[in-house]
Amino acid sequence: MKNLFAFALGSLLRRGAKNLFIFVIFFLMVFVLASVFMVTHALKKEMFTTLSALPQITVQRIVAGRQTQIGVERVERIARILGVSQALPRVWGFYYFPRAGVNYSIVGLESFGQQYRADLQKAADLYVEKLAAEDVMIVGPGVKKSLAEHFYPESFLFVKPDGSLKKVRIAGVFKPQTVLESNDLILMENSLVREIFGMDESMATDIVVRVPNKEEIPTVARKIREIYPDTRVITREDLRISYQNVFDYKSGIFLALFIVAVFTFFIILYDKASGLSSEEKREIGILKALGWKIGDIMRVKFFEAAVISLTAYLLAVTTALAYVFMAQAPLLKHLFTGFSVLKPSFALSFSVDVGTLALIFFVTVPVYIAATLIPSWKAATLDADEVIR
Amino acid sequence: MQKEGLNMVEVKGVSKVFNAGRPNEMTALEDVSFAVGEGELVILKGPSGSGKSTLLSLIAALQKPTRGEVVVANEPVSRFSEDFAALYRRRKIGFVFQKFNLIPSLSVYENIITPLLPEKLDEEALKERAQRVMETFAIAHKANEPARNLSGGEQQRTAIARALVNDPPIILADEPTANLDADLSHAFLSYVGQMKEEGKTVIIATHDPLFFDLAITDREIALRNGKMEGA
Amino acid sequence: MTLLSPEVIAVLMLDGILFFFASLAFLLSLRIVLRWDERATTPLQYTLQKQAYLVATVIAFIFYLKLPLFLFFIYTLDLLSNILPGAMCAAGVTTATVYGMPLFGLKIANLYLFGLWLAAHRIDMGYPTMPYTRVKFLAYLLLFPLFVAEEALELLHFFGINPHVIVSCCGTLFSAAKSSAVSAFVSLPLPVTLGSFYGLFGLAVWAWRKQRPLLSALANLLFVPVAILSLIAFFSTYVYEMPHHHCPFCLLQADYRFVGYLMYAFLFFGTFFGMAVWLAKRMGYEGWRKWLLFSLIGDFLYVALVSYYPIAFYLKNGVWL
Ligand SMILES: Nc1ncnc2c1ncn2[C@@H]1O[C@H](COP(=O)(O)OP(=O)(O)O)[C@@H](O)[C@H]1O
Ligand SMILES: [Mg+2]
Repeated sequence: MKNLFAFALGSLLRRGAKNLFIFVIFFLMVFVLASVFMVTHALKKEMFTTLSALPQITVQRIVAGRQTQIGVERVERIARILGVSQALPRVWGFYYFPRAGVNYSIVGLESFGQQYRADLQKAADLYVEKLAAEDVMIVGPGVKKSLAEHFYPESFLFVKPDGSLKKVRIAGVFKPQTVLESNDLILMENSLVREIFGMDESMATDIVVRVPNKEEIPTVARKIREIYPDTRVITREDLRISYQNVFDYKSGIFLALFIVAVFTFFIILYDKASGLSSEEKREIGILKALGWKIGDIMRVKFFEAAVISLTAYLLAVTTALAYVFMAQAPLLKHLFTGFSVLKPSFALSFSVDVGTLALIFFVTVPVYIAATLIPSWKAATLDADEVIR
Repeated sequence: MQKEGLNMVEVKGVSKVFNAGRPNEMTALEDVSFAVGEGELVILKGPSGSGKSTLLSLIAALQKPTRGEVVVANEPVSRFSEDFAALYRRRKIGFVFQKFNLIPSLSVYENIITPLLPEKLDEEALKERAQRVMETFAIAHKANEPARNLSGGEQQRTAIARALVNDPPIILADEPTANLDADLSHAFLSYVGQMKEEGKTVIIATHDPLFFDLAITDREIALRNGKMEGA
Repeated sequence: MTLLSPEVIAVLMLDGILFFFASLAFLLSLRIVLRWDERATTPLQYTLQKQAYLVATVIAFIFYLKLPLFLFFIYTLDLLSNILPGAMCAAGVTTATVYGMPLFGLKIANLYLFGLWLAAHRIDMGYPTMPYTRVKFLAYLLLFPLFVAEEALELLHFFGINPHVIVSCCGTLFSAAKSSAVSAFVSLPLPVTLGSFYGLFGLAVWAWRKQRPLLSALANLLFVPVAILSLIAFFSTYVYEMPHHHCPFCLLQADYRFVGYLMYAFLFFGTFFGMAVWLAKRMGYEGWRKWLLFSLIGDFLYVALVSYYPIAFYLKNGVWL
């Protein structure tokens, strides 16, 4: 077995040019696939981390099919529903900064009040005095950077809906829990957010609801819908599943296309492997005449295929790791995020799991070996008696 | 001049028809029967096309007879499955081919050990066995030379070394001197003597007169158009 | 199609490849069974001999791909449990359609059958004339429909999953309260469950002591379902250290250090050889005693591993769950 393996290695090297060609193409295919899956996996994980920070239930008011402001008086009524431990109004929105060409997310905090998220609570606790006392904001690292680039190192002038300006000082930089979401984040006092967006005191952007018992979430959501028919009630579970579906769908479509490519490649490969040169045919004839079994020759052929595909796989996966996480996947990242220029950039944080590697393995290596199966059988069953003539 | 003792190779009423039932049907052998005792040297002679190579390949179980049977050391090798035929060749047969049939891109050493590779042998055992035959046939100094760089004589010695590396009881040689000059042909003859002394059963198919009427030959079988002459 | 996850696509693609090869092997086997003539020296016989190698290679390929693919399949179900409301692990996804459970059973049975076929083939190759060729290929002809059924169930299952229907999690599926065959076993009195488990193991040991292949095959054949059911009913609760968590799948998750893979590997190894030894003996294979020993080792490791959990729990806490 060991000897046959060594023979297979030698035979690969002896026919270097042909094998190198196969190796390179196979390597490239695995590399593309691995990069795409690593990027999606990293993004997916990022999304889910973000998601886990979201409120269990979000209530939005819908008018004419669009989301609009919701009255804060509804908070009271929702909080009284059985199973709800807390309901809070949120004031937040997007602010477009034309000069940098980016959208910032502005999120309001109720100073001295309770926050719906632990990390926001921490920020609020930290800056509570300042936020209450004057017109200041806490910004994400990406915001800090882009503001500084446009000569607002310490404060920023917001343009209100009526055209007047509002100066807000940067009081600190928000330590992000997850990069994707909080990079473009700006935190302010609720009343300041309302002023900048021109919102009424009695209005909020949406209402978030906390339900301690997970099992009761669907029931609570249904009740809210019944009480306020003009609302859209979104549960975290719904979001999670729809995110997952979007990702699965995107990478599923990609994989389907990829498989078509793989099969084209393997048909070419099949052709190449079937067409043995006369020298190879003679070699196999000699080996059989010297007492090699059909199985011995097939084993050598299998070793050759396994060595090519496994080394190409390992090399491609390592290269993809470097490309995605060290080089931050130039070209590919934006293809998948769709944020491109509209949001400040973010980093792909390292995340690989056995499952992704197994997935990449299963759609490449066994397919390659399958493609060589019939050609190697054909080669191994060539008639040996030709060499003796 | 049948010797006493065990029959090593028995060819029993063997016929071989190629392309049977087709317009290009060709009877290469017809009702050939003979037996070769252990340790005998048999010369198989006849003009080109008379069926010598076919007969050797039947004995080596590289092909199956259309009719009849080949029995080697009491085993019906012509009925063996492909795997058993291969195993039988590996353990019992050393084959010296007409054109030597070395693998040109492999070194002398690598060529010589190819018959041993499917066996479970470690590196040491391989080296030891190869070394022994390489020394016997004076090719050890070229061990790492690719076979394509060898001279005719070196190729011949490598081919013989390869045939003997698994220490087979039976040696089959097909026109071993067809591509050699007179000196090398004589050298081969002396190797044959050596093999016979070691007790090997040797069958040589040839139309080279050099092998005719040798003192060490136990028996000559003449083929013509696939039939045994004088049978 | 609602479940276009890359994993599902990968599994379906590999199914496609396997199906292609299995069908090829079926057609060739059919010809071999009909036309094989050991004594003939015709070109047809010669071709058939060569094709027999292709069939055997293809079946080996199918088996060796199916082994890891089975694990990947479970992993895929585990992933799908993320998008199916209610499901916590592969168990919920399996029961998302009526095809899930039969699919699982068939998958396991096919692994054994393909493995046994390969074992028989290996033994047959050990004879100069391969006397079992016709029987072997006939057996494959019977195996093929099972393989096709498995693939069909798999398609029906994947396409039948409705992501909007809430499924059960393993907690309720395998609880004593539910009225399924599994639950019936779970609610059996403990002495009966454990008695049959250790009893069958004892029988397997005895079969080894007395060198009785048929007994070993019977004991191991029964041992497979009994081992799995008692794992669900009893041993798994000690792995999870939760009296009501009966599940054969969660064992495979990282939370329990993937111990399930080891368990199932031991179980498969032991029971496979335990059954194959009967075949080996019948076919006159001299190495059957070694296989009997392999079986004993596999069975023993499995029993030792699953027994470790309750014993360790008892030693640590002084009580049973
Ligand atoms: N595979 C084959 N197919 C058809 N004819 C063959 C085949 N092998 C040998 N023959 C024919 O059989 C006859 C005997 O050939 P061979 O045994 O090579 O003769 P020799 O070795 O004595 O020269 C020749 O006419 C040859 O053409
Ligand atoms: Mg000739």
